[in-house]
Amino acid sequence: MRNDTGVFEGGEISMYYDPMIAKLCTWGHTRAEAIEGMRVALDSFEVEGIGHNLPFLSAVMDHPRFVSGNITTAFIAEEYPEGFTGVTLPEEALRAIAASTAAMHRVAEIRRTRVSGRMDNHERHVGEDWVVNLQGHSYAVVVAADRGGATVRFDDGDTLRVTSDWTPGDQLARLDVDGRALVLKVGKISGGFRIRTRGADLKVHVRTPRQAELAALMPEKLPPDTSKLLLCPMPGLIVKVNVAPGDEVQEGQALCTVEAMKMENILRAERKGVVAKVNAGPGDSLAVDDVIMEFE
Amino acid sequence: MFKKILIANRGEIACRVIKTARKMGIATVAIYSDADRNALHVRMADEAVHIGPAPASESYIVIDKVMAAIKATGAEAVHPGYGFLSENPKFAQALEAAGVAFVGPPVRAIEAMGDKITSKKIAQEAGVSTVPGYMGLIADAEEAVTISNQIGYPVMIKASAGGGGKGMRIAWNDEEAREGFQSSKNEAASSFGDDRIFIEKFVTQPRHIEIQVLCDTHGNGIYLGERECSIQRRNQKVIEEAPSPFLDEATRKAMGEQAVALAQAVGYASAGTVEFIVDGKKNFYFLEMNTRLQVEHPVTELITGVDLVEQMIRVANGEALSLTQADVKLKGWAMESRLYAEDPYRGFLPSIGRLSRYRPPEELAIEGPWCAMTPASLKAARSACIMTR
Repeated sequence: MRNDTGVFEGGEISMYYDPMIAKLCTWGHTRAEAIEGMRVALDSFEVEGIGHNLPFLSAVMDHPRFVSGNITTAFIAEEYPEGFTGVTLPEEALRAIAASTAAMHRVAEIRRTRVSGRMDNHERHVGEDWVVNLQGHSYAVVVAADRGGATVRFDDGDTLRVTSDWTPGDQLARLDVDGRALVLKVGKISGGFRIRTRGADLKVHVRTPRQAELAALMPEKLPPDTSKLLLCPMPGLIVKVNVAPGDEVQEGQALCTVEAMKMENILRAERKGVVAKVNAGPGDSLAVDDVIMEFE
Repeated sequence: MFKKILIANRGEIACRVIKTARKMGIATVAIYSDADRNALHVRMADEAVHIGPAPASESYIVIDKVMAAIKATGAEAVHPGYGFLSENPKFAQALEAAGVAFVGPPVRAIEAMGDKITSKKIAQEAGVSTVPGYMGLIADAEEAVTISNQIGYPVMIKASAGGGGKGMRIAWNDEEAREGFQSSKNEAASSFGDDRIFIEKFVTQPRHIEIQVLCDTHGNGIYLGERECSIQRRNQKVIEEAPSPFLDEATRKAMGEQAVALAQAVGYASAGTVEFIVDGKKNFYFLEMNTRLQVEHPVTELITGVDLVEQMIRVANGEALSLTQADVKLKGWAMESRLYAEDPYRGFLPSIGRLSRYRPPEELAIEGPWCAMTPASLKAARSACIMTR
């Protein structure tokens, strides 16, 4: 592993020069070894604060055509014609992540019970049965922990052995899952982890069987269709509305003016359309995402 | 050996050169713009000289400012890195006039390879295979068919004033060549007001494979294997590897020998790269020569164990190469990923800002030629790595 870089944590990426942050190199006896080393190195590389192409690089390292060596200069244009939209991980990888996060969650839960100042003999008991939800899949697992690590058994009888020196709070988890290295970038979300690995960005929920049973009944929160709405982008005061219901507006046409932070901001139409309804008038004070007007 | 070297660059390549210079016991001078006041290369160098405002056009590529920094610090040699002034013959000339060594090829070689048409001509004369084509003017469709047959299908018919795919046709047979010639000519006339057309071989399943060459001032030249750089996004390389998964030993040798022949034809002395385009049948054609250290040089270093920056400095100091072609052994496989500050989910738009977290994986070399080379270089690399934390 070799990394050539010209930046450091806390440093700034400026707009004046080339956007290259670092060159990450791996060496192996064979091409397959070099690629495997690169996958782990990319997963272990922590970069926050700016947008970067680590997920894309990981995706290429797992792309069957790249792995086969059958590449041409048109590889990216042919394989990613619509641009890069993220990675869908295969079943095997999901199972490894499910086993790892179940074991990690158990450790985190046990630590949560050790908070000082609790009444003796009333500690919360941390169970062994967990249900892990990720990328639309649900895995019921039993975590049997011992001094060396944890053996995670899936409900189809399959088991995975997980060992790691991860402790709750670490943002990088280096794990060994049945002899294969797995490196996860770990973030905290309600009821689980945000896991980034192999180019994927996953929300992983680890629940007790009862929680999972109830969670399955929860309605899915759908993002509202905002394509036909003009939302207020910031808290502010409507100064002027330039259009009325029934008006046809062109792309770029001014719709209304919002005053915020002593600055007047003109909101413009993103595309051609007809105004259906105007919900706010001059003098109205609006919050972020309040609907100012609707389009047909 | 030089006592002090100035690095006329910034970012990772400046850091890279400083590491080797330190290993060789040479003092280092960094130059920096307003935006780079606190940059890593400034911290790593023994001395640093401020050379102006943030835009490169007012700092890093202003020859007078760099020359002033050389004079002020008494540097005996200059490493230009890549980009900026690295392939600027005027800069090399200014250094020569000032009696300062340029860690790069002679001015004549930079000039010869800097022009696409001249370089192709020199390559042909040196026996390097170039994309077969007909450069003269073509009178009518029948002549176009005759020429296409001489070149061999598929061919690309393009407007000499063309660009962006306009006035460009690919023909796989006589009929397509006849039609393509006429439509290209019409398109070229209406789009560019210039209906001159030429024909060249269309390279199918193209791969970008380049040969690393190393020459000294005593007439020795060797090649250090190839790098495959086919994974590109809009001509920007993203992932490189060495060796190429495509080449066999015979093709590698043929490409290497032609690359060295080209370098020697222009009196090359330093590290350089000869770029080829290789088709699906392992036919290779010369594209251009880069008369500088390439961004992706580490993959070559990793499989050969040769420190290219050290070799460049030694050549600039007038030393003869200590390696012969027989000493160059490729061992194992190396991969390079370029980490860019650009957001892949938003069409790879550049992203700027502060690195709130930057923790690269630990550099480890347990095995491999790079590791076997010198423990000192590993130590230097590690200490630089610690600085980044």
